[in-house]
Amino acid sequence: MSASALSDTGGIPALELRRVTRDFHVSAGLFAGKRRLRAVNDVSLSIETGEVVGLVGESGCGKSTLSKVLLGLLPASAGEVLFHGEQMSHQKRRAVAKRIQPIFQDPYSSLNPRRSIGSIIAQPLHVHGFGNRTEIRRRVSDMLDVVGLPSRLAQASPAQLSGGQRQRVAIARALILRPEILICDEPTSALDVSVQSQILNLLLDLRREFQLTYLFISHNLAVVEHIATRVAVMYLGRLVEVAETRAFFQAPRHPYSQALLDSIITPNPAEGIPTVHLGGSFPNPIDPPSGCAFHPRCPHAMPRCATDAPRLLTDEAGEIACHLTNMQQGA
Amino acid sequence: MSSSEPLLDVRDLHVDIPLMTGVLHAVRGISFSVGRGETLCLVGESGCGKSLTALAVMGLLPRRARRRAAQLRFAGQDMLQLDTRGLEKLRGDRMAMIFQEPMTSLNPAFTIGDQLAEVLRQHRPVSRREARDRAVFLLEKVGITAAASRLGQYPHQLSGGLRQRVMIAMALMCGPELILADEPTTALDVTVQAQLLHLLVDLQREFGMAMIFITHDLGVVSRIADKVAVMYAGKVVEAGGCQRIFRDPLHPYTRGLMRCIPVPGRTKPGEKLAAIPGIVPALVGEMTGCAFRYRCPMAHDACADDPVPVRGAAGEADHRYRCVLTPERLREEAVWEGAA
Repeated sequence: MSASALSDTGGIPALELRRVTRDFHVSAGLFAGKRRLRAVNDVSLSIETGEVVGLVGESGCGKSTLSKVLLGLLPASAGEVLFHGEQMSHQKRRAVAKRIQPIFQDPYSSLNPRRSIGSIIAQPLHVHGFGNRTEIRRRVSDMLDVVGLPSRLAQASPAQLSGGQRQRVAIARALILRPEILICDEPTSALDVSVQSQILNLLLDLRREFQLTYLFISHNLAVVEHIATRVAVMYLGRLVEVAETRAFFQAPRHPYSQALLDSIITPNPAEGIPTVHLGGSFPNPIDPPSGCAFHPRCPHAMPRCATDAPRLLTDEAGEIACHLTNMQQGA
Repeated sequence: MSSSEPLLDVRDLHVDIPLMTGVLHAVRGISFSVGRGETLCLVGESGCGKSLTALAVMGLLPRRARRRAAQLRFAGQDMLQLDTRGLEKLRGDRMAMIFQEPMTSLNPAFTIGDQLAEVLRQHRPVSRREARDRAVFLLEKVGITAAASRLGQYPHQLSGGLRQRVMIAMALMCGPELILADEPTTALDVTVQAQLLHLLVDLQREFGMAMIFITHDLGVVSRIADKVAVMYAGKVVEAGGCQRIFRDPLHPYTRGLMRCIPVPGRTKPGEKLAAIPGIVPALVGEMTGCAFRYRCPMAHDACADDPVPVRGAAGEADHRYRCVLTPERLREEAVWEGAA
């Protein structure tokens, strides 16, 4: 655990995953019956109070499943989720929801089109039996102000709002119970770039104002670098690297992290399209490769990678699961 | 056709869509040209009219949309005079389109082999065998391994990246002179995006095709474009050579777009990004003056007047922008606050 972990919380992380696994049983074909799909595989990760952990990886790698487990929306098949050191499965769903809230990718489908903006934002208060009407109205109006929406929009319906405004509503709804942790699942991917920056600025402001902790899931590495304090890379259900943002972007250690960073296309007319040394395509999660799941695409794969799965080892630079680094360090 | 004539020449193109509440002027008089082998990037945010522009060129607009233009010439032919048959002869043959979402643009009920072969057989008097060989050749070209064995597969059996490769192969079946690619890599993972862009640009060079590439991603634009046209609310607000546009962007909207994205190594993590306030205006009904003035930090009274002058940057005939302010005036101010 890094030094920053020993904050005023006495070293107990705000949120901790201990060897969490989540399986789904999916149809493998008309007569083939069901097969197991391990969406999250033995993931351990702790998130300290005040951190912004950026979770990156390709579609299908298990990021969203992991976020649902963290929110208590999906039970873990194995392992445990600890919230301030207490097992989440022992706490009431409602008590957890009050302190951990989600923001989803698509503000078009995450808001009820038949409700007014005001009632959408107030909904969590009703669910938790808060306050009288005047109090609720005041809180909603305050919250609209916090997310930068005019209070007259309380009467509007989602259809009258732009994508960016809708995402602000989703943020307001998430914040109305004053949670400690926000799980943001691709919160800006559905937005235009000019609106994306508005939302990123808002999330950064809110973090300072309300001392929030974020798990920020994104496939956009430039956005992750901008907002995250620590980066966790996931590949086919497993964490393959965890590192401080700065160090990660300066020197990614896992070959998959390197490929991800190589794929960032910044505006620079002097350069061509980056060459990404990544063979093959994303493997089928129902039938994952043996050993290190990344080995069929890895430019540095060794015979050992096809047989043994590397463990996620912790050192001073972070955590990494790769035989190459482990070997170089004599592990 | 003279050698100086561009492959595609579009003058004063309009696309109007009648709605219950009035007429939506989605594309409001845009002009551009693409030379042989050249890449033009149309850049803009959702609703700026970039996709409808491509569909208007292809003659694939939704039925209720109306297209008019002063000129629409492709390879020496006047496309405004072509009937449906004439258009169908061009489409898929000499100009082809690659869409964003390969899952919805491939037919789920046919094998990819059938779908690839059909494109060629529709336009050329070739045998099944020849069409199949061409399909295998192109699937290999787009980096699909064991191409022959893929012919019998259905779209749902392929990953998103593979499907988009199939779409590219399909667009290339007849050896078109012009490819229109509408956000072809947006739905894909970043590593796959880089691979596919590489592929697209390599193939374009190899076959000498021109390309109109539609995207909102300025990073991609900077790496592949020869020419760039930035669109806002149905109009081109700035156009020019790629190097010029990125080195010396003039229109406040272009400059805002470039400032508001985080760029590793340039923007400082955790600092405020520039943000363009407000939202794109509704394009229903008549509109005068500059459509960006409601969000522009440099707007003043003159911006409401018609027509908004189209100016050139000194010494660069091709670099033009639509704004009341002079280049000197635009350059002297740090228009957008936030991370530089």
